[in-house]
Amino acid sequence: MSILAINGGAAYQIQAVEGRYAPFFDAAVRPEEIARTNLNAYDSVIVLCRTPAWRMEPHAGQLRDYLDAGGTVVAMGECHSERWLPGISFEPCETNFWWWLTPDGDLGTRIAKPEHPLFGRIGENDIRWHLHGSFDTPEGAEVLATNKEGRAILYVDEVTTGGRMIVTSLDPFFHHGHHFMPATTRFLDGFMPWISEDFERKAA
Amino acid sequence: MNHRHVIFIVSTDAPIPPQFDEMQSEGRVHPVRQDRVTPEIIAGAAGLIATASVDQIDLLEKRDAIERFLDAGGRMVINGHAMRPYVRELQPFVPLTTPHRPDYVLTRLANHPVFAGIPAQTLETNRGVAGFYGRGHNPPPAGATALTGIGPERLPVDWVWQRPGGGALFVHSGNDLWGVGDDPAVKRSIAERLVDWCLAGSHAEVCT
Repeated sequence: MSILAINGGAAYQIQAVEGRYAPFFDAAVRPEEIARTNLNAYDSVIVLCRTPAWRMEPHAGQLRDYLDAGGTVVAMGECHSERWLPGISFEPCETNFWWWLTPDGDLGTRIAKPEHPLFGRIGENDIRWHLHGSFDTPEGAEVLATNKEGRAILYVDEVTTGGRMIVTSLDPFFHHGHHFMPATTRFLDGFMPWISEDFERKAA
Repeated sequence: MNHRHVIFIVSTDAPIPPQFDEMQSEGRVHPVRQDRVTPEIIAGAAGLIATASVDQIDLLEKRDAIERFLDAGGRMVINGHAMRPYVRELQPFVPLTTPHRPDYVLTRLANHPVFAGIPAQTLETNRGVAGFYGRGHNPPPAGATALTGIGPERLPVDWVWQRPGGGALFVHSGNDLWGVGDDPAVKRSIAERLVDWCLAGSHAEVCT
């Protein structure tokens, strides 16, 4: 599968495309280069964690066309994808960075669909560092992981567009790229092969 | 032109941090979204503040403007991990390899107004957890002064460099410096002092 990364140029985004996960990316462009990029040449487009929404909003129409032509857009955490992808309802939350300092502390993140192929690659410990928010998902979306209220933190939407949106509030590229939080590296060690191997382009 | 202000480069969806609110209302700090930071805006400022999330590919494209600003005596505060030489002498960040708690111990190596009266140890942890301050270092150029060392080797996690061609850099190789430690007053004070340091540069003095 061919994967295009959208690289916003922050240290952790550069690290994402040039470091440990470089072999997964066939190309990387800056958000401002999307307009002159043929997205249809790629099976998936990954928008890395913490890409500012103001840099993605101008490209919402082109991304929608790409989706409707059968493409996959992966929107990582802290990207405010609700501002540039269709059908996304995001609710931010106050981030508890310290839950693990409490004896028996539990962030409350759970795998919602253990039989899903992704969870042959990663386990519950690998989706647990902290949360920035959760989603209301459209009818028919496949929820893969939830927060303690049972709201989605990682889901696949193949109903809103002609393609596929993989949406998460988790921000592993940020922390991995900052050399922080081993769980985020474990997550990406499973997530990137999943994106790379399990998704082929949908028929338009 | 009034050069007695500092440009805070806004690189994410988040607004300028609250530690800068008062200075913004006083006009000493101007937050500018990164795509709107033009060579003219750079030339018109006494200082630039880049966060750990700054778009370094964009800054590299603006290197000529940044270096002209420094040549004229401008001062720049840099947070985070250097990945691109948007000031020619910046070297790529060197992460600590498999760090453990002692590798995060901070040692003050030289006095600097930004850190006056703030022991390095008070910035070493957030809620008792180390690793927020820095997880490696941006190697300083020859002639720089190391301010804070990290780990037993006292690697230069913070340094200042009076650039031979003019201007100066204050580099903190970690999370944004006004966000480390647990004391809100210290965080505010660090933000104010970074701005004061920028405004004390010759660019600010000459051009007002």
